[in-house]
Amino acid sequence: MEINLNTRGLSLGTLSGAVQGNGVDKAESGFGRGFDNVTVTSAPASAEDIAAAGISDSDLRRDDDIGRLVMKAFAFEPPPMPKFE
Amino acid sequence: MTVEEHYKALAPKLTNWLVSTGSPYAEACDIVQNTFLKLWKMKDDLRGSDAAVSGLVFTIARNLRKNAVRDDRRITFVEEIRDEDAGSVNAAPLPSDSEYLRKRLAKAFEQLPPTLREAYTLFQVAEMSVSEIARQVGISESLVKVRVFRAKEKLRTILADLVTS
Repeated sequence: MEINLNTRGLSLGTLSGAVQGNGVDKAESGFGRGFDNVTVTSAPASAEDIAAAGISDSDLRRDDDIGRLVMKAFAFEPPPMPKFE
Repeated sequence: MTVEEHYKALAPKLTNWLVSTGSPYAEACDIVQNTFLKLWKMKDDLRGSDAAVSGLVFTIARNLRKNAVRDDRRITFVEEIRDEDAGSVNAAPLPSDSEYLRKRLAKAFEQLPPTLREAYTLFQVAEMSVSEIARQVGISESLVKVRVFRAKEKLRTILADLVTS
């Protein structure tokens, strides 16, 4: 599978259409056929694989703006360890 | 790792995950303790990696919570947690604005589609890896990435005033 894309955040429906438009038969119905910035060659790729390929490690950082809020909000102390016997 | 070591590693994450997904703190504590008591009973059959045990722990906890709901024990949302309830089980001291944040985040999580909420809370609060979430939820790693990314984008929009301030 070879992909060249800038598809971050596009809907799966859009991506499915794009995949289909590039001659890959493993795509479900969708729209956006012929999307210019998606190129798929050789093996079929699922729409989710293509979408994920546009997501970098830095997009999945836990200490980003949203992540810091979540960590601040949910910082509970766990209960005491039960006695295992 | 022993069950005690698993507890130390996973209990904080599990507690936070349960609260972030709707359990009151006191109930979350009960579920955490009961989860590990069940794990301890299974200790002779525990095989596989630490990640596999982590997945098992979250599965047990989910089932215990489902059973609690089935038993007509009402699940309330985070905004209904009272400080005195949390304090009775040694809640971590939190900054004064944490309660406000919890309310805002709980409402924001409610606005996410369930699939995005599940992936994001497992990723961010339970601190599971993408591959662990994929195994836990039964989807591909690519789909986990997509769901976490989309959840972040939606949360960033919903919580724009907090993110930019």
